[in-house]
Amino acid sequence: MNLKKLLSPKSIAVIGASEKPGFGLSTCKNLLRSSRQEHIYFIHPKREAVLGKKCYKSISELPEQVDMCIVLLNKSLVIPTLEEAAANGCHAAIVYASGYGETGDKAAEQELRETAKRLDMAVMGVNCAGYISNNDDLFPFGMIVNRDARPGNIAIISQSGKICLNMMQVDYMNFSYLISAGNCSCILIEDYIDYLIDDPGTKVIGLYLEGVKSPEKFTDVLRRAALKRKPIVILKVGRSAAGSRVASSHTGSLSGSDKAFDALCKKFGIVRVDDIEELVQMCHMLSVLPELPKIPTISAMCLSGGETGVCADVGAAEGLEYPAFSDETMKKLTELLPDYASPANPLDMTATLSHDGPKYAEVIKAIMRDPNVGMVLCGQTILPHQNLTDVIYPMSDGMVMAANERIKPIAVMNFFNCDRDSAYAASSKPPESPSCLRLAPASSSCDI
Amino acid sequence: MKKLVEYHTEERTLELAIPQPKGSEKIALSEYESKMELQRFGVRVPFSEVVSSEEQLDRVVKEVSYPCVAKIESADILHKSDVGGVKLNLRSETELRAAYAEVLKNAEEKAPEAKVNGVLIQPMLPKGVEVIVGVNIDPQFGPMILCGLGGVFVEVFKDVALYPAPLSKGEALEMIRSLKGFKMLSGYRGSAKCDIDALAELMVQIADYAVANKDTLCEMDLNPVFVYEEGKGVDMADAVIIKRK
Repeated sequence: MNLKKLLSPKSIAVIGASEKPGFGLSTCKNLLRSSRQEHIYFIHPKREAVLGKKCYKSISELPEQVDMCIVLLNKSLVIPTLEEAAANGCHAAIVYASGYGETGDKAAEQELRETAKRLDMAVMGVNCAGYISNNDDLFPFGMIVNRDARPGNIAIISQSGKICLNMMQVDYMNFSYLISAGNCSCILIEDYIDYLIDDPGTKVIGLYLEGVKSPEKFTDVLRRAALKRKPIVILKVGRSAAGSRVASSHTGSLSGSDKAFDALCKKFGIVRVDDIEELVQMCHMLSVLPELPKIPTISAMCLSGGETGVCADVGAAEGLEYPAFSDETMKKLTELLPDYASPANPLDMTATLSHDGPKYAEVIKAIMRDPNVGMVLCGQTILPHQNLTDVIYPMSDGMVMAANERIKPIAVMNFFNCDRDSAYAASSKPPESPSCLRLAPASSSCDI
Repeated sequence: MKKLVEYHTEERTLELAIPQPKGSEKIALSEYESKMELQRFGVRVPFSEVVSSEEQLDRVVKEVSYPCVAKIESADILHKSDVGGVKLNLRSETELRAAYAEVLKNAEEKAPEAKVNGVLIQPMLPKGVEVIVGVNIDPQFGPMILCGLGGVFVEVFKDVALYPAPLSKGEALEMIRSLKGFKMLSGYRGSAKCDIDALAELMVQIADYAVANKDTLCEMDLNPVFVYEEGKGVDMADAVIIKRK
């Protein structure tokens, strides 16, 4: 099945465009923000206009054949609408309607599946919320996308629309696609992964998964992703009996043994995460790092002994290795650090260095050059006290200086999320460098 | 992240053995049948013989090397020691003859409905580190190979590793090394290092068997497998295969 017309359509028809609050109105509002207005059409048999945009009476009246349609109608009207769309040359659709397999009406879902096959139609859903494509500046999505589009290279495929929406709110997450796949009655999660593996705009694929429908296809796409080194991060519910039950009633998914799924992830190099925060952090890290470390060891450096201690313990608990520095690094650190500092990994570099950007950069670089170290983590927390500005700025500058030399991957650990003083947070300068990653917040940052 | 950095596709079998289940009736193979099934597949199993008559016993008592063991041989009795069906460390012809009679008598008393094929007689295996090698079938993703250290490690601490078949030797070694009780095999406090290599090879063979039988296999347990000192290999002391017909 070719998903190009569904996920990268040149033209879209919204069937059942409406001003009644709900998925329909939100979809219309979202689509009105797209830069491609001349190829987006609203359809309603009785209305002249919706939200000021002209309405056509039916898909046959449109001035062009459209690539994809969004069906905003309820279950009973879905099949005739798809038939009419197909008759007019449209072979991709998003169907929001609910009340299929997830509530026990498996026959209706089967009928829809057969119809889609007969019409050669790529159908997203049912019981879904559509998708967002920053690749194409298109938002056929059933919940209001109230943030500016932030194009990026993370693709999320989710069996929950709300989890898509939540991830959209994280201000450092930048997406190529956010796909709310719903029940996957016709197009499976496996098909979306297959499409995104070859999408040049997508660097990492993140999944919220409730169950796998085609183990054969799933295995095939995981193998292809592994060979292509396109990372896949999966948050899958069903670790507990209660989680399995929720997945079954939410999208009608069946999950096999959770331990078997874990084992499968090991074989195909899938990163399986335990919660939404870890999904966000892991996708973010894989999205931003220009390359993975060559060896699985890290060094952490903080300006405080407390933060250094926490790094040491959390890292050890996660099985991370802080190797001893080489003799050469130790020599260099002794020269650069004040005489009351005691160089070791993780490193408490003391606060003195935080006032001196260039010297701080030298320390980071010395550690980056250590053959025992795969990746460097720098602790820096932006706090809302103006008098810390002379610390934040030099440290940011130092990190950028070091990161830009691209010796080894570097990530920034933010120990506390501070958003009480948003004006200050906006005015301070977090490091911005293509090879410098910002992890936030707190302890799970070390969870890499 | 650590796992991702250490992950290399060339070290992995990027395949699964997804089953198309056949047959509905589950049948358990007896220990002897299970071992013979594995032997036909090329897996090395210790010498054993099922004795079902006095004449046969007269011959076997002369042929077997002592100490030996006598076990009730029946597909209907999966937990042989629960019915008094296992006699270990038999040092002489006299002890073996007594054990033979006792095992049969115990089975008749405690499991009268079981179909008994006879008594399995084999040389007593030298004691090694006990491990379990098994196969569970995931309904979606097929045979999963399991390995764990025997006894309390599996039963109390649930210290097991699971990995989808097929298995390369590298993957088998990774499973073994991931066990919390790995030190039992790698040597601790002066105890000798075990033949981990031979254990990994057995696991690969078992995975191959599971892949070849993916549509009919339900479950399999080699419990215990003895792992000997480095270079001295492994031996399976017991085996059960459950298949569908």
